[in-house]
Amino acid sequence: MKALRTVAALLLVALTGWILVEVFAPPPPPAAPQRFTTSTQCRDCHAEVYGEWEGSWHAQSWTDPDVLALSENFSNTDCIDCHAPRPVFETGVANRVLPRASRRNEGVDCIACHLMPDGAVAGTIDKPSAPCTPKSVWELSKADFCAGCHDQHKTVQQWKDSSWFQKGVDCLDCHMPFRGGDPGRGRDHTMHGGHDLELVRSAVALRGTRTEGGWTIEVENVGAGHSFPTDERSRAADVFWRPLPAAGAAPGAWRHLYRFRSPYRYEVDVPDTLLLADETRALPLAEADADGAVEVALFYKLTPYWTDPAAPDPDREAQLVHRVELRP
Amino acid sequence: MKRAALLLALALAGCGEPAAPPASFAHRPVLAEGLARARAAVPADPEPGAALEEGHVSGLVEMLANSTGRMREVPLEEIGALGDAATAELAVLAHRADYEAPERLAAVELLAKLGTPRACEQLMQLVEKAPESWMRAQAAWRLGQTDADWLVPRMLLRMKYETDNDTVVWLADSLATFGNYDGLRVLWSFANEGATDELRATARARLDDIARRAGVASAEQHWELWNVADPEGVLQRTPSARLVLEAWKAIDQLSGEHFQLRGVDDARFQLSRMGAWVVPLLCEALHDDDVYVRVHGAQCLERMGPRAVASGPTLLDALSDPSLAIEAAAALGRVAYPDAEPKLRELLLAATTRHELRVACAAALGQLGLGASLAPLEQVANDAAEPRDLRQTAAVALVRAGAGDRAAAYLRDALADPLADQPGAEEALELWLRGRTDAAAKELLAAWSALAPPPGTFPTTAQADARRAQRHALLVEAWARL
Repeated sequence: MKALRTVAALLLVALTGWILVEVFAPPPPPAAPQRFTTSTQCRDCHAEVYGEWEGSWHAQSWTDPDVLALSENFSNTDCIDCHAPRPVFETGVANRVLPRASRRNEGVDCIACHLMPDGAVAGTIDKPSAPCTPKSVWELSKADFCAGCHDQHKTVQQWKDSSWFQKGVDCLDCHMPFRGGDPGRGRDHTMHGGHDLELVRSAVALRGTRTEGGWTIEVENVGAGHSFPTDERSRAADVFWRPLPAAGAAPGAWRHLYRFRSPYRYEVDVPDTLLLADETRALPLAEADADGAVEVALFYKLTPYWTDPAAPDPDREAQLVHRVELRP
Repeated sequence: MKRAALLLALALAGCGEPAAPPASFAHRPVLAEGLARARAAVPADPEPGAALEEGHVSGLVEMLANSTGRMREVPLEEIGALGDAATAELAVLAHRADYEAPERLAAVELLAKLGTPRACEQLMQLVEKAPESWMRAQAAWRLGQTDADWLVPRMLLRMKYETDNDTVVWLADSLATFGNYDGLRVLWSFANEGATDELRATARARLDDIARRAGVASAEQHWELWNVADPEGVLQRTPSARLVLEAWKAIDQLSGEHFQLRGVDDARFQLSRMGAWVVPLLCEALHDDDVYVRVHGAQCLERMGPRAVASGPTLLDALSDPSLAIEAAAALGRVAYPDAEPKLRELLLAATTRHELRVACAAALGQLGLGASLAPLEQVANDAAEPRDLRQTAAVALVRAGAGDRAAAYLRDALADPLADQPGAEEALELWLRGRTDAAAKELLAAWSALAPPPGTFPTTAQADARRAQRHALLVEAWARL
């Protein structure tokens, strides 16, 4: 019994000592402050994350040929604010972003999201001894963090108006999931979105029901969490149809039925037809030869323009998202 | 506990708060002051007056539409006596799609003849909203017959978004009437590259006429005066109080109070295309207590280029403001203020200067292109210990300053370095080659240019990478001869 009490006393002393050390011991010496001038500085310690980001569209926000075309090689300087932003923590979470003057070719990079005004790095853990002195900053994982750029096109607001917001499913759950679903492995910095066709396919459903003299085509936003597509100007989705050819016969040309798109600033004659989160849009298909079997397809475009607007060729200039065959 | 202590320490240290401005560049509510001052200076519009007898205005419209010669004078004189009492009905008639075109055009002419702020507002709305392009073009032309210079910001914006060439031409012409020559840019484009002979001829005629009206010898000289330098102030105009108010409203759009960039972009576009008279307002805005107003104000000056050279002393002072120094440095280069060179050079070389500010200083020194900058830029460009993008910016600056030989080797290597700004290096190397007159450079440039993508096309990333690899090989092969 005495031995037991002695062991307990020793344990108590040890525990007290440990607590005192934890509370009052000086912290480990902070690493020498590092000045971040390029995201390649992050690569040595964070090779996996860097590799994911390097292949991401965030990394290409300055160099992507589509961006160069739409911004006319950034002669439209207004595009710079979001395509080469200053660190978000510098301008403030949920505030409008400001453009930066250096390393623009790195696009939306490590520094833009992680560098804090005091030179530390925002992350998910506190580790003052690490070269980049990371601090755990909860705002990093919040939708408002993305808003400075992505709410310029109302994407964050679209999400806030959706059932996904109510359910607590946010930007990171879809666009930066945990690697392999394991929180211990950290988040995937590929940050896939509209360039990922599988993700686009998971966002919408396409179906049709028979109606008198034709069909009613339905497109439902089942998984986007925001409007489909989102991002004004840059994105569009089109529904095409054509009579289903007889076996062995060549299909006819696609015929345009409907476009989902938000107009860009000057496009006063373009209606806003984005498919809201959770919405189902019914599109009547009642042309003369739509009474029989038809083929309907939903195509997605990263830039909304067709080479020949009068005769769009979705097979060449868009990506097939869904295709259904409808038979009476 | 440690985290709490850390957070407390950070809070006490004021971490995340913007650095206080130096006393020499104090911030204050400039925007609010400017808006209040400008509003007070604008005279109140007189009341429109009593309603007119039914058919009176439409009668004048029909008379004007169906008259020729001196008979036209009658409705034009009478409308002045009616004043703004006629404005609303004239606007309705001008917009009416079921009305005959001559009558609608007559209504537009009468609005211009009235020329009151309310009438001019209606003309502007026709330019902005009329679905028929001929109506927009007509209203744009008629605006130039009024003295409504306060519509310049909206006319500039309309010119940006307008798709009808005729309307653009007449907007440019009317802007010139108000002393704003931003439309010369698009007229030159039409004159040189217009799709039809008629458009090219019309644009050229407008350019010549605008130069003549401005008292300038030629359209070419006019372009120089507006965009490069106007030391004698030949094109200087005094804005109306209403236009000054509109400028302050545009500056207000820069504020952080507005989240959407759309309004900010429009305001930057408008402000950076105004005449030199707006420079003092923007200089004042650099002291505003809203960082967005300060930063975007400096951007507007930068985008104005040499037309804003009078902002040089203020921008030079702004280099001491940590919240504004980067944009101030960038602007000092673009406005071409040579007195800034020593300070920009000092900041470039100081080890304590923030990286991004050093980059901005290097770029600005390249734009100034002064001899004293060349050695420091060369030192930075060729110092392997310096950050990659600073070295490249310095190298590009040397090319822009006409001393590309000092940096070409660095740019050659950057062209093949996947971590460098390869497109930037490629552009600078081409500029360098174009500036050389020796046979080896000309031969290389010919081979280099043969790899260029067709005009108006944007190659894929893979195509661009392949082209740069080929150009790098060309450079390496020719290097000994250069």
